[in-house]
Amino acid sequence: MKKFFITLLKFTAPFILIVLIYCIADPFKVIWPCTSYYADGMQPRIGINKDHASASTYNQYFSTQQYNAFIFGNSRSIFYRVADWQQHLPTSAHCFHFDASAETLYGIHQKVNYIHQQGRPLRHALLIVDHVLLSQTTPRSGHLFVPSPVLSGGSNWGAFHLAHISAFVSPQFLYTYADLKISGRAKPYMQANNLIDQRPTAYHAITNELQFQAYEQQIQQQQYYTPQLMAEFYTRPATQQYAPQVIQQQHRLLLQHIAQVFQLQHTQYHIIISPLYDQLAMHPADVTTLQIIFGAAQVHNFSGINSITANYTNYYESSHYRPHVARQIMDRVYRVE
Amino acid sequence: MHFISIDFAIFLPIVFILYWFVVGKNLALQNALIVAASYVFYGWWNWRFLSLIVFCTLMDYGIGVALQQQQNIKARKLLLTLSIVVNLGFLAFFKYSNFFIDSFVTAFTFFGATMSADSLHIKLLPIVGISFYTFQSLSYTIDVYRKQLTATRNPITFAAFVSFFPQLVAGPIERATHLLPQFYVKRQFDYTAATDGMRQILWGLFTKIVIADNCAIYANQIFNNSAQYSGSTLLLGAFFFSFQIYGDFSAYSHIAIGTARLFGFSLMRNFNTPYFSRSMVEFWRRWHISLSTWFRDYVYIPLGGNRGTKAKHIRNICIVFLLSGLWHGADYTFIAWGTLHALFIIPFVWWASKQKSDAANTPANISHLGSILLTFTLTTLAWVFFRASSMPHALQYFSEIFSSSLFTIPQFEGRGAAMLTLLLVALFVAAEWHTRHQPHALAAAGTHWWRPVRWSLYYILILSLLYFGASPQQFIYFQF
Repeated sequence: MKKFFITLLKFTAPFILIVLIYCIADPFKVIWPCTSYYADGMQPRIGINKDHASASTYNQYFSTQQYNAFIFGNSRSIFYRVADWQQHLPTSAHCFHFDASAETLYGIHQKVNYIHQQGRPLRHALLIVDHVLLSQTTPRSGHLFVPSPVLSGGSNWGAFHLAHISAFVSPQFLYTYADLKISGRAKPYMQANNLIDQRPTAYHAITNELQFQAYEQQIQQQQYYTPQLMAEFYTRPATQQYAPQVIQQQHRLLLQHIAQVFQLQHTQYHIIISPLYDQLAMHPADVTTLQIIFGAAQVHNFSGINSITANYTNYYESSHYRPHVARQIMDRVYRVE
Repeated sequence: MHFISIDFAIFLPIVFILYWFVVGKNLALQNALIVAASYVFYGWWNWRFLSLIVFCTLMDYGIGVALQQQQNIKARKLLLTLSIVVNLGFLAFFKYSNFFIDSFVTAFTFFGATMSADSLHIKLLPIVGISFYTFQSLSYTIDVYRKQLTATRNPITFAAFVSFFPQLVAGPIERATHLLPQFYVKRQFDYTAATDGMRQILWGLFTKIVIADNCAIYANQIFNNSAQYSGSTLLLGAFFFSFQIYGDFSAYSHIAIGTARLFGFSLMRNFNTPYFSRSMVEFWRRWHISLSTWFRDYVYIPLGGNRGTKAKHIRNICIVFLLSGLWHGADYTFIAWGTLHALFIIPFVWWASKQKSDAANTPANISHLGSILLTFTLTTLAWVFFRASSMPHALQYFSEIFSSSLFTIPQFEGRGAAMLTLLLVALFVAAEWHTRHQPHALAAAGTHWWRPVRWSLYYILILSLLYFGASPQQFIYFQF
């Protein structure tokens, strides 16, 4: 038996060492408490799990900020700026951007449920959705997308860290990480592999807001839409096309539960169906389902062919629309209200 | 509790330490710990599952003791009938009741009546592993009835035999004559067996996470959208499913056998490189061996086996394969799968000599490549029924495979990444071929190779779990 344990210890020593380095270095900011998950400016940063960053930041600052207004959604929602939204809300509203990378319906449900379960207020909500987000009723995998154990009460703690350790021990990441640590600067290959992000950002931890001001400046100076970027803006069909119907029984249950929490919390909310560059209109059956569950007046459909989606300058690239579009949408939504 | 879960990764070392260090000196306590651990393992899915297994255990224990005492033939028959009826009754109720309702409604609708199957459906909890442990428990009462086994007087020992967690939910379906006596003797820790068990677990993890789960991505994509694809793509989808199901199920057996070895138990081999079989008869001697031999010993031979006329022999084969199909699932697709296998085997019964059917005892070599490929192709085609969501789906799948689009280049989303999976499958097949004389692919590496080389191989396999591991899929055989 002793021999067995000694052999096991020897064999697992490299893994123990890797786990130790992972814990001490904490490159994905998932081990040690973190006051701010993103740095301002052009500093190279390792891609981290936004779901975890949002959930941890929310918990960290809740006692001082008493958040009661939330923007939920995927990366498309980050351009709904808190300052713009605040103009439509009473002064008692304390806003927080509760987004996640490649957010899912599962993720939004988990966040709404978490706030409610914690007995915390949820007075105002903006749900920024699209057909891709709505289609997902199960947690995503991969270290950037696996749900944070903060929200699950720790039930997926193991899977969460396994996903991060798996990402950490990949030769590609280890090489990039070592190179970055030694050289102290991001190199083109690192960004090409999406391991290191060096986009110019401004991060406000209190609202969990990540802004890309430098892009706006480049657009003002007419330096942004380069021929290389323009190639991304593909030609879309001239006639209205529809996204596939995605809301099924499981989706309906999650949406109904979200609506139920909103009702219990007396939440003032709006569901915004994003104007995506692909100009695919959300399937009419899905829009109807959302209207039945949340109320027709609360669902605002900006998908499909319209004045926003027609103009490529409303987009940074073919996936994300710009803050002025989000501002326009909020103006329209709250003016109607 | 799934083998591939953090829960199990914590559970196993705890049970291991308790088993060898805390209760290691006391056989009764070791067996009691196995029962407790097995119930935790099983109840982790749903604690309500436990009531059924406890009931079956107590009933078969009691019947075993009664059979041992009873000399009256009629009374013994009655006791055995009770065990069979209750065990199979539970199985039929929990697994097949809605299937029987659907079949009933279909029959009535055919004769003009209007009925809705949905309104008649019984809302039942799908009980994980019920097909496995009811068969294992039945083997005990049948063997005691046949006087091939002395009934145990110790209910804890019997409970440990029925619920032994490594093989509880997906086999191998152990025979009481093989496993039960192992609970009677004190287990000694065996370094060689334990390290080989660890190697077998590693091979199982690789087979499941790297091979089966990656094949599942493409098998699911192609089967779920089969109407969109050409015959060649559908054939490739069936190929992916062949390796998904083999990787999935053999992996479970490897992990189960390896885990049992850590606790000083030897479980029967469940897979013996079945895709290198040279005939369908041989395939069934190498695939899910514990189930095939169960049907052989408790259904086929009692029916008369190959004794008597050829017609009777064929009838017996048809019955066994129909039951085998039905055992796998409550759907016509599984019955069709079983029937197809029976049809594949009947020509061998009709023409083949006994010597040829005994070929499974000798390992294949490269000169058998033609017959191996033919057997594999037939097996792969039969899997279409197994994987299809319904009979119309299976027939649509076949109609496209056997169309001119079979002679086109497969086209589907993610074809580039699928090439990597095919490469992994090729490496897996090569490893299995090279080690086909061994109980598992890493067995020889454990004893013949220089330690640095050996450990490097293990590290590569572990890292491959992290690099090539696809989204975890549930073990397919849990549903049976």
